[in-house]
Amino acid sequence: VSILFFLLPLALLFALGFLAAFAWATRQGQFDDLDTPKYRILMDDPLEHQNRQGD
Amino acid sequence: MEAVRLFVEGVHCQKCLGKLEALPNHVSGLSHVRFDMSAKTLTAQIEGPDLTDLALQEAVEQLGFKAHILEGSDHAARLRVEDDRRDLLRIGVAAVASGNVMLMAISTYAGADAVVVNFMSWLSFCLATPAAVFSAWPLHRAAWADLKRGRPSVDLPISAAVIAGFALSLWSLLKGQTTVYFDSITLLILLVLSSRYLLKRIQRHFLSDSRFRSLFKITAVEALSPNGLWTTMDPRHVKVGAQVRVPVGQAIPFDGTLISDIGEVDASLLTGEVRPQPLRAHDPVFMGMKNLGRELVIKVAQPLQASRVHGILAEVEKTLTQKPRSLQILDQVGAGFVSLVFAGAAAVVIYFIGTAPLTGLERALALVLVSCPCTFAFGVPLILSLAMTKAARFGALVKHQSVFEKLLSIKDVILDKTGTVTTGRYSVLSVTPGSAPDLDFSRRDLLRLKGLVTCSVHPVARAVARYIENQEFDAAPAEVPDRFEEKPTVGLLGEFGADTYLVNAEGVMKNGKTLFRYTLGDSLFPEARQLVEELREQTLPVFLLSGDRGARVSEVAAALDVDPENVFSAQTPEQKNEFLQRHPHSLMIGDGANDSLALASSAVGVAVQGSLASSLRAADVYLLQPDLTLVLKLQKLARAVQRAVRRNLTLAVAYNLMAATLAIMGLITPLWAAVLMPMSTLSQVASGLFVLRGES
Repeated sequence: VSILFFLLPLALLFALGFLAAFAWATRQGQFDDLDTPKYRILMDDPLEHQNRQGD
Repeated sequence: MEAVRLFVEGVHCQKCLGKLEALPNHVSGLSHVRFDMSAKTLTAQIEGPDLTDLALQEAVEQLGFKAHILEGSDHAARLRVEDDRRDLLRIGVAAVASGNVMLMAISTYAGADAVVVNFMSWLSFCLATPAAVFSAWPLHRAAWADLKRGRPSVDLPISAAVIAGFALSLWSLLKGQTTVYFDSITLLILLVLSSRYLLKRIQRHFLSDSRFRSLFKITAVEALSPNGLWTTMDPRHVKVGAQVRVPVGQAIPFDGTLISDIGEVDASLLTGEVRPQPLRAHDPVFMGMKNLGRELVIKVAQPLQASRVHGILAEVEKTLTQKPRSLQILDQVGAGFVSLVFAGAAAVVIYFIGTAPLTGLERALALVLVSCPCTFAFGVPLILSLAMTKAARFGALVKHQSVFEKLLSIKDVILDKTGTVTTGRYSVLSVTPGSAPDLDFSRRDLLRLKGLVTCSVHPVARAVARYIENQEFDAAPAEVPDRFEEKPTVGLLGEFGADTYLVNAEGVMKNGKTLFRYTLGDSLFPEARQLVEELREQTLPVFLLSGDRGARVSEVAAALDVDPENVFSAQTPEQKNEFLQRHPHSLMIGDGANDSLALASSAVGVAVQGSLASSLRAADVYLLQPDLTLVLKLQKLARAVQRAVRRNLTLAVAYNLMAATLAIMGLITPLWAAVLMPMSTLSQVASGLFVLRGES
């Protein structure tokens, strides 16, 4: 049982660590726009696109 | 460096996104172009004197999108982002707290050692405190504001439940007991905040009112100075009685009278009529009329701010601020609910006051805690955000939640003509060969004609240009005229070598002989008829209100099969507004600036695709596609929303009755609260999802 008194605070420390990471990511603007990046990832470089068509 | 924001319509795919974000490649002075697909907002940095926001708007429109310049400083936008991020952080804190507290609560309920339970309860307290204070801060603040106003809303019971639960738990901890409700309250905070964040994010996209720049910004006009010279001035410094020159293709910047002998304007902004309107000297002219024929000189009769258009816009703003935006059913039921719960709690306290005041307080707090209105708190916001997302997916942007409710109580439907049931553009409806069939009409004539009509901004020329473009025709370069002239009341004259061409509203002549004739008009949207038909089946009276002249309006009304008694022509914007005020429960569909006042005062204002910014601002719903039947879809969706909300309310009442009985009898334990609250939550969410999914 006594191990719980050590493990529980440790687990909470982990949780706090993740909360801090979340706060950091939020401040960085990671969650400002959730819809556009998925399209942006598909955008081709125009030059590359032409090269591929030439193949 | 200046940040510019544009609301851009018609961006659906990754290809469009690529086109927009590649703008800096061919527009100099532009950088950091970012487009947000969900907010449909383009943000860019512009630099240098050559590039203005208007130029950027034009560049975007050349790519084939419609763009509106958004008002609002950089600062306001940043504040909004900060606000969003803080909300997210609050949710994060609540999530960490509730997750961990629940884990510990499970072992407590499972019957852990007394020492461990005590330790865990104190840990839960440490975790729940930031959630109850920092995360729930907006709720407490709103509740406090409610109290001060003396008008209870949904925030009050939520905040009260959090405070009651927290106080009750702390009280029992101090007594050395472990009946704590930290798991229930942290979960409640998490759910409320998340559902509200969701709704807010969705509503945000849909054009908050203040974002659209009103009508137009005229930065410089040419006025006649006392020394007899034309000078460029700031329009604010132009005095009443001054003479102002208006170049072809530009909007008249003031209300006044015409000094030139003759002129031609497009007054569709004020009247909705697309047919060019001829003017004579001393005729009144209004700000916003577009000069078509030739350069005009006007005499200013009103200062800039006193113009009719400005008056209309000011009225729109005023009406908008008076329009209620919240869901009425929630306000009513919410207020009743709050008074009931608090009355019950007070009764419990009074009942026990003689015998066991502490027990009474405990039970009263438990009552406030368990009867927390989950339906209002997150059931309904969730349904609304789902409905809004759905509406956006089929092409109707809904600005605020009350639209769904109001749509169901409308009694009349009022349609604008130009731009709403008709395309709002002059186009060639039919072509007949001219009186001289022997005249050889060659491909060369067509190429010359194509070159000639592109020289003019006149609606007739534009219509002919579009007609030629739409014909099967190889892309040979158009021939540029040697000389061209626009003669008001005569037409567009062009000379190619020895040949003279004349384009006017009747047809095209070559050297005095008619090449061909055409009928010009404003064609009807096919969906308009369907809309009118279906509305008739619902026995909703349909009205047609137009600024246009009688004959044309009756023609359209006949084509749409609208009752002639319900057709009103030659309506000024002010008359339209009066009509709307006489019909308070009406759905208005319109587009132009002449409709914006009516849109603002209608119960539900719908602006159709291609509307002016001022109408976008005034409307409650904006259709992203030129399809009026979307209104019918929206109606259907509104019915589904109503069903879902009602079901949730019923569920909530049943749940609350049960919980309240348990609480008053003193049977509520943390375990009961932990079971009951998520149960009601789940039923709310499931009910919402179920109803809206069935409606596709």
